[in-house]
Amino acid sequence: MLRKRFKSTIGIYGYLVPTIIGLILFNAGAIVASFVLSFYKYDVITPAKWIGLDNYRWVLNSKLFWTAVNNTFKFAAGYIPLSVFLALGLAILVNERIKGVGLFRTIFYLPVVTSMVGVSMVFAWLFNPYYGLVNYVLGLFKITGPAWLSSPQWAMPAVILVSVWKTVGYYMVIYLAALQNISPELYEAAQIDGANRWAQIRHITIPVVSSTTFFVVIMCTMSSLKIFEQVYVMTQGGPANSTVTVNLLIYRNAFEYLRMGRATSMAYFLFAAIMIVTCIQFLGQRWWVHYE
Amino acid sequence: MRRTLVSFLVVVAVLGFAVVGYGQEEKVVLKYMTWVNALGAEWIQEDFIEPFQELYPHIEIQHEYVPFAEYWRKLMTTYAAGNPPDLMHMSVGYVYDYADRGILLNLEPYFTRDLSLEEYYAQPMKAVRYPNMETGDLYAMPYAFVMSVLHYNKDMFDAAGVDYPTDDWTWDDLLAAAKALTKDFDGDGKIDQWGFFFQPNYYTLDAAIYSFGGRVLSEDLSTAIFDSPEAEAAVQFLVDLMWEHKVSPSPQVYHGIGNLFEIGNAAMVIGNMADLDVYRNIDSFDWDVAMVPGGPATKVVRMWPDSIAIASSSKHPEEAWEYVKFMINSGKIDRYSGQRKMPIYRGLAESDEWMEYDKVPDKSVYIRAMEYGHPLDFRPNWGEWSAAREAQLEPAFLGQMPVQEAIRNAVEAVQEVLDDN
Amino acid sequence: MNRSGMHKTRSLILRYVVLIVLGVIFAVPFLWMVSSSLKRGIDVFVFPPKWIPSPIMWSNYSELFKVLPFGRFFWNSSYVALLSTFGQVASCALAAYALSRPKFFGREAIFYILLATMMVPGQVTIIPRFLIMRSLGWLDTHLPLYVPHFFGGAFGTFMLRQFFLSLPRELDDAAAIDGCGRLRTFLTIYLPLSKPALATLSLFIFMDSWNDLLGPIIYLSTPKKMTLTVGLTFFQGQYATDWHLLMAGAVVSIIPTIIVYLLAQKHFVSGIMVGSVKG
Repeated sequence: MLRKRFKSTIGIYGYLVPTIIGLILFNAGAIVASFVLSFYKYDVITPAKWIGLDNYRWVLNSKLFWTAVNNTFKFAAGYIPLSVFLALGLAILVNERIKGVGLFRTIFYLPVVTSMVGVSMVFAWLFNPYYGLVNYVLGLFKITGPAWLSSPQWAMPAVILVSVWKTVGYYMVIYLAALQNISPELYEAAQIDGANRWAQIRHITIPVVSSTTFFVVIMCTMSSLKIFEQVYVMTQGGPANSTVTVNLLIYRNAFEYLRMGRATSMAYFLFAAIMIVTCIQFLGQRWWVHYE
Repeated sequence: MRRTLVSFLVVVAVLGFAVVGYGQEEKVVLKYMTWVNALGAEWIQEDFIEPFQELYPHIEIQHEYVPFAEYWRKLMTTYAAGNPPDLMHMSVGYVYDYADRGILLNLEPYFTRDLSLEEYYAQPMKAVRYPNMETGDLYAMPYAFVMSVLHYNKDMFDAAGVDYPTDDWTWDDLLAAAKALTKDFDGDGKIDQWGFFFQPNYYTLDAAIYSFGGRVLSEDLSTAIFDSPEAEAAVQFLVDLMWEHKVSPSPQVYHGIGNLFEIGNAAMVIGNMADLDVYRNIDSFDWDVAMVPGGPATKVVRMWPDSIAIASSSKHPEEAWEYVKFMINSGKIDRYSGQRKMPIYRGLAESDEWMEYDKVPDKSVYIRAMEYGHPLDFRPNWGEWSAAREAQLEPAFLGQMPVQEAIRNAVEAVQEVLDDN
Repeated sequence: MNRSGMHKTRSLILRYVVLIVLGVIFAVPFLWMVSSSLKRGIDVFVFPPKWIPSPIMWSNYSELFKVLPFGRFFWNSSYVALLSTFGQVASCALAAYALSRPKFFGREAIFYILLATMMVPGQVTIIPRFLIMRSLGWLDTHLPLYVPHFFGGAFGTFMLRQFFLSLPRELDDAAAIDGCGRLRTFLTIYLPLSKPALATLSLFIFMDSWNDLLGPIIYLSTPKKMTLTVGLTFFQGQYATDWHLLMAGAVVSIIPTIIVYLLAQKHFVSGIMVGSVKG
């Protein structure tokens, strides 16, 4: 019995050989090395100098770092629910077998493959408070739009909207794959019981795709806490530091300010934060994720 | 006399060596890193590298280029790999920091041995002197430079009956003209033509502060001192252009729609002389160039060079230096810096070919501006503190914070960076 | 028309209205990109904005192809992206299967370590990773761009694992009763049922590899080895903003990923059939 179990364990590890090699060869070394660097004053160019916990101490005392932490969580708080909600909604809409649905799928997916650099300029123009399209449309409904990207209060919401626009197609496709796998009999049975469309979505679709929702939430969380590209190309952290995120600070310190050591210490704060949030999500999944 | 003799001998020696050594001597390979776009790479290849290699057949130059946004990351990986370039283009904002880390070769001995300073524009070269801008040594060699200038729309000036800007213009003259040039043609309360357009970036801001008699950093570069009454008056003046006099669009207006001058919505703009290439495509109005205005204390024209540096780790500094000299003294206008950036070599800059007397803009303005030239305070951690300063001053330009308070925050943020070394 | 028919029509119209409104919102930035890509540089920011460029500058596109060896770049991008996709889907599917239902010693540990690699911000591992590739002697080759994909990946493994977990548990039991070995269960039951997920993952990996900017720039130095995405960034200068060319480049660069999307989409649809066969 024991021998059989042992044999089966060896067998299952066979499937994991590539993954384990990959972990050791391409990840472990890099991650450990960067962790070690967080205790050094290191600019890549000149030899590293051991400074113990100084980098961590500096980070904790830096006002800018805490502004960035605050901004990053603000982004996550807006981005995650909007993305999950919209991705599932779009997936349900384009999962219908109606004419022209393929075109809409493609349109919703287009932003995902569009380059962020090009997108950033388009949105800078769309969000211009005086001449941009967004406030023009709002004006038609008698709403005076805010200054968006040039306002410290509204820049982050604008970044969130652009990010959702840019990535929601990605999550929509994941949901779509999951929806395709729901057996039509489930809906047929519900229809016979007289359940309307909303009831079907609530009682069949949402529970059945909950393992996918869990995946999407985890992914959105990680990508939102690591947000970089959108602010790098769209706002450069401005105006008035209102969109400086932790990962933007890490990038600047590492490659623009020649402070690789300090950048890595920030990265490990971020790593810890992501880990804690993810752990909570894993612990919480038993309450709402429904596995077959 | 002696210097000329020495440099003559060096040239003879190098050429002689090249000729005699041809065929038996090992080929010298120089790794050369730049940030250029595809067209720029073609120009560098055809206008510098190829003719240089023809002249020095024993030297091979391997050109690597990446987009500017990726340049520093790429450069660092080459250092991490122990395979840094021999020659690299250097942003003036980084020369101090890189020289400070000992990775740039001191070019002063090479320069004094082979060249004479009188033949070059000395002002923009200050920006790459280390440790001190006035007395330090050259740690990179500028090959061309740009300055901040005032571009103006002649059609708008004519229509409003305002005289064109002159060399002795002050900020007050600019304000008066901008008032006359700001128009709401259809009376809908929305301004259709702005008198003046500027962005509160480092070169506008610094020039204004100096021209009002302030300074950004103390002489020894250790303290942020732009909270003086003079500096505050300068920032207040710029903020007032947007919010008090409303002759210049606020960031809320111009954000995301590019250069208002270029699209014919502003009568004047303070910008970079290198915008010339873009402006020459304009066919809807006539324009020209003038000096930036002076302030109550003085007139300051910001100048900053494009430079090339030699790595201190290079095994072939002499060959690399030959390339640097070739680049600044090739004697013809290359397409890379072209007509939009001023060659550091006076003979070339002041030649008819570069001056283009028959064309717009009137480049003699640039020559006259030289006497007001001032390098930027591209000093320790410039990238970091200038970003901190712009972020803290931004609320003032957005009209959301009194200037004094924004300056206080900015000084504090800059000081934090300066102290952090 | 009876009541339920009316109701159906009304809900169909409602769906189309929602789809069209959302579709327009999603398409506007893209339409503007296409329109700018056909303008002259100085016309891009003119206002009031013109949606139909005049003159229409088709030459922007030919200009793109004049300056750079785009054929070469296209080939580099394609083979790197295809190899990456194949390698990663295969290795992730294996790992995801092992980490889904079978219980064995070390399962949780491997899964969470794998997950943790996703949490480290990539900026700080760039340099160490680069040094690893250097010690392998892979600099200035395409190997660092696709070989790591043959050794699994946290995202793909996690995604497929979640998908496998949503398949009915009875499948394993049925297979066991039929005397199916583990490998056969994986190959003949799990993989065919997972077509939608595999297609989705392929799409994502292809896209990520195609759009990767940092990897090629850091690992490659010979210009002709670069990928299309990097090639397109060569249109951004330090001062000159050739926005019209940049836009044209962006439009060109998304075409291959759209084609891959359309191919993958077919498999989502075929997934319906597979889904209805099971039971």
